[in-house]
Amino acid sequence: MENLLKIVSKPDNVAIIIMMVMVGFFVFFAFFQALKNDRKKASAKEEKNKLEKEKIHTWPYLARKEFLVAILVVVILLAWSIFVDAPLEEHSNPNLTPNPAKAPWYFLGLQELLVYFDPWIAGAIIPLLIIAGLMLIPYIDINPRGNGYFTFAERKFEILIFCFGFLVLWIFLIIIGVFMRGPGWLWFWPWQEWDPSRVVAEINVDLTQLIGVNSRSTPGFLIGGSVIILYFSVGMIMLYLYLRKKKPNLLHKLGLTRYLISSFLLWSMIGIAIKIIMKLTLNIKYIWVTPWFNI
Amino acid sequence: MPFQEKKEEEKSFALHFLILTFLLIVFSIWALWEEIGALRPWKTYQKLYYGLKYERTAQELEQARQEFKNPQVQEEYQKLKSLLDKEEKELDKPDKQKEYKEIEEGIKEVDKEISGINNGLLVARNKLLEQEYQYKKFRKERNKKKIEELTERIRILEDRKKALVNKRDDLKKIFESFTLILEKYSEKLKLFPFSSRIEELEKLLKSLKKPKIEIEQYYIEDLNKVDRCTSCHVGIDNPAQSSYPSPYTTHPAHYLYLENHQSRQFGCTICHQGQGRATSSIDKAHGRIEFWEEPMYKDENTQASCQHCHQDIEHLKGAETLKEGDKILKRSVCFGCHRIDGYENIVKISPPLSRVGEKVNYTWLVKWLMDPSQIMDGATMPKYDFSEEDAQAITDYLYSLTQREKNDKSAKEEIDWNLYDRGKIIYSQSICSICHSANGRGGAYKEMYAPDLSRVGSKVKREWLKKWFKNPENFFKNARMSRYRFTEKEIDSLTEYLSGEYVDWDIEEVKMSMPLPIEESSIQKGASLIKEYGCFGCHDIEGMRDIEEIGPYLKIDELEEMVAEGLTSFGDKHLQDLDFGKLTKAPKTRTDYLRIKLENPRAFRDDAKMPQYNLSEEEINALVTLVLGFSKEEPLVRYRIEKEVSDYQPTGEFAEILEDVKCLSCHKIYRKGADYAPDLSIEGSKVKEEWLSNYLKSPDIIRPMIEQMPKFNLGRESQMSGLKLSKNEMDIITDYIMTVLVSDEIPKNFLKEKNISQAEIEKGRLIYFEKGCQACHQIGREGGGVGPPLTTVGSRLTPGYIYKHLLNPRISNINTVEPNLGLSDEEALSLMKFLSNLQGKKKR
Repeated sequence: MENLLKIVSKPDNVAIIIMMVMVGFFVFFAFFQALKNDRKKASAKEEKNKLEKEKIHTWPYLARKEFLVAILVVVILLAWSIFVDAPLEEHSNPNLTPNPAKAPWYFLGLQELLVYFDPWIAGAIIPLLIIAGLMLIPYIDINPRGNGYFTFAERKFEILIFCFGFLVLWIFLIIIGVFMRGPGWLWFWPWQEWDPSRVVAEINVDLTQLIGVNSRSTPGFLIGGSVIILYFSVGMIMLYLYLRKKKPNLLHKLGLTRYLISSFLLWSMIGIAIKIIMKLTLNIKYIWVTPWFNI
Repeated sequence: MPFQEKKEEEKSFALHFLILTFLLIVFSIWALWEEIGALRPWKTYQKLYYGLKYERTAQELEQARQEFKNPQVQEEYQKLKSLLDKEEKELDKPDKQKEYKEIEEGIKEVDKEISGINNGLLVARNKLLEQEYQYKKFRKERNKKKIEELTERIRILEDRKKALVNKRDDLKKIFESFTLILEKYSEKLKLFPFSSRIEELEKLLKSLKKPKIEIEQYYIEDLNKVDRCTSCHVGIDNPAQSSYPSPYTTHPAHYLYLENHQSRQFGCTICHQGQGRATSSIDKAHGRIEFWEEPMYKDENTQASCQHCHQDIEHLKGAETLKEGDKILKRSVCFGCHRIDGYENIVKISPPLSRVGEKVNYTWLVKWLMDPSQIMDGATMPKYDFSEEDAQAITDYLYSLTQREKNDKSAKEEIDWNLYDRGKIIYSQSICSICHSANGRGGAYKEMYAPDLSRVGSKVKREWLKKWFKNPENFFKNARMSRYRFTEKEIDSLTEYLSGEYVDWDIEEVKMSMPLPIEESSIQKGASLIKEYGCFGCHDIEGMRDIEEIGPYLKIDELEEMVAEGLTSFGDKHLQDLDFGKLTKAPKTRTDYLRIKLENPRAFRDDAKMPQYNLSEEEINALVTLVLGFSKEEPLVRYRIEKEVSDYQPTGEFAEILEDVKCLSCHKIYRKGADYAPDLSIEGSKVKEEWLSNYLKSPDIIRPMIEQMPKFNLGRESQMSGLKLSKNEMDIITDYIMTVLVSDEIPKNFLKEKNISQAEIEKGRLIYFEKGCQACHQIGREGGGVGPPLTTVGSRLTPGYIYKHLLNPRISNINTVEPNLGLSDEEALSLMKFLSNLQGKKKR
């Protein structure tokens, strides 16, 4: 526990503690307000007009609050910069890399992905997918509701996807990277001492090796490839069939292109989580090994 | 409606706004204050400095004005000024002016003419070149003729030019004579002590009123060093600031350090360490913060840096602590276990142990191994924490190299007093006490590291002692003790004296009465202990020799692995590479590491092998200073000062004598040898042959104070007396010195024929007393005792040497304390004549 306190109190990690508190608070606040709103809405369906009347103007009522908050943030930053010096360390020594060598805290989620994927996937493809996906949101989000007020019921799917993508695949990975990853990028629980000479006997295997097929052979290549392709095609087709049966309206509004893009992004996101779980539980290194890339 | 709150439109945030704005202003001002003042302490220092300087300059100015007002000064000043005025007026007169202008015109005229001729010459020369080329190519008579013509023309032109130049020079002289006096006066006026000084001070005072407060820095480009130390230490390189308070006071020993290392070129941290770039706090600038690996050296430790560039610290002034450290390192034979580049060829003072069983008594050796300093004063061997059993095991191993049984020889109880008395006389005649101490007396020549003899009778066996006197090299190849050429009888007497006089009765009591067999298991244990603690690092031990002789590098690696880490680059070591072991709370710097380690070698780990040296606080500090400077980093070439290596090789029979008598244990010849006795490099030019051969026969005393010669030996025999050189050997030495060890700079037959008149001697005597020579030198019974007495100097030194020495006292010994009096040739000549005449009483 002393170890954890030492890590937590490092000046580098103050920002992360603040972030954890803030994210927790705002998630709680948003859900609290959303559920309250939803309940109110359900009970007062006929008083719809009244609800409309509760709306107020952004200017000046929101802007003035934002202005006050801006001042507060500037004051906090000033005070912080006065009281805490930049945490400089010893002279860099080319013969001695720090262990663990960690990226800036806001990139630690991406660094954590390096444990599960090859560098070019974790460092290039996935960030690219994230950026592209974020850019595509205005084009694939066809649900116009939820503007200017808290709601969950009206945007269940969107909010759950956000929670999964941001809270689990970003914030949670950062927290793991900061507090759970010690020397050798090994997993340390908060109560464990960060021992630089710790050895862990783990052997990575490829998926096909589990069923006794060499992943670098042709059958291995074929099996691995079909697993990946099957995952995406079956997932996308099943979801399509499900939506056609349950929500044909939605599917109609969405159109084929939009459906393909958003379902691909969705399954990629879930796929990353699946790979993480597979690596952590079964020590799976690759699912599909090809001469050009490995997934 | 369940809403109890006020409507958003009705809320007021004025109070929030007021508080937040107030906080914003407070923190902004705070940040600004930090930025301008608190993080820039050098500003305060500079302001204080300029205030102080202003005050002092104002005082000086006031003083200068007062002195200037002095009526006497004023009178002189006015006189000079009126003279100047008069001359100026004289020159201003119309007719003078006219003349002046005319001559000026004349010069211009001549200059014009000269330039015309120059032009003509240029053309002619070019044409000549062309014609020469043509002639070379076509060999036509026409060209040849032209060449002759042109040559003639050039000659005429040159003659004319010469005449004109002469004319111009004459004119110029006249021209200058007009203003000559004027210039002289104004020059004098400028030199006049106060007027210009006042102006200067006034200007300075004005500039100090509004000083520029800014960071000052030295940027040493090729080292990429930026030293901002002078931002607070303003003017530390100004020798005039010695009376200023710290941090402005002049650098200590400015003339030695800063004069030879211009601060613009060297900066500060190159020697002192510390964080030269830091300006935000005193601790940061001096490097006394976490993670800064080179905190500023304290006091003498700074000398550690000298070694980076100065390869030869032996002759370096201002590096006294370093030299002391070097001596301690050599005395303690640190390089026996630690690899230190540059010390590979130093002769270890530790004796060989292969035949130690023949030399010392068993019981003594056991006691010695347990704690050397307990049984010998000033023992250089350190203390290992051996138990009695361990010490016995090691002794058993060493004894087993020469014999089967362990034995003690007790000091003789029946002393032959006849022999004893004779031995005592030989002991004092041979001045053994210069190197050896006994019962707290003697041992002035510390660098010799000769063992203390107070209890030698109980230590060594008599038979061995006799063999040792006969020829020390038989036992110890690198022994520094001279072979004294004693007769058998003398050896017996000396042995009788030493073993009779210097006995340790405590050891005598516990000595074994009869020999005992050595146990095999104990020998095995001793061998492994010797291997573990690396005794062979310093001592030559039979059976361990193969460990050393695997090859130069393998040997050292193996030694390092077995015994200790190398120290060659200790100064480059990172702090994280220093293992502080159990001392987790110790201040973590290299200096502290070394200091703690030397104070208590087992402070970091209980199982450390390093032994305990008996070092005082100062000795530790000196050694720390030396080791801190060990670095593998090569200094830039322009900073490097190479060690001058002596390639002197004595030749012939002289070399043999030199080797045998070990002259170079005390003397120095061409940078080889020791510093204790005079440098002999130019001895042949220095002393007279007759004196030299007499001296070798029975040495005189030249410098009683420094050599600490025992009183009873005065006049009769001296420190070299013991070396009974045969006549032949003395001739060899004299011949060699007179022919080889001479200097071309010293005239050989200076003043040989001439008879010196009494008047000249008297003149020299006057100079002698006028210059205060008698303060240090003695003639007869009068004078000081710092320098050698000069009563018989004329019979000792050659006139040529005396003369040259008077002009430059450092001619034979650069470290001499004798001042250079700056004598003129004439004075030196007279003084030399006086000194040469001091022949002493002709007798014998």
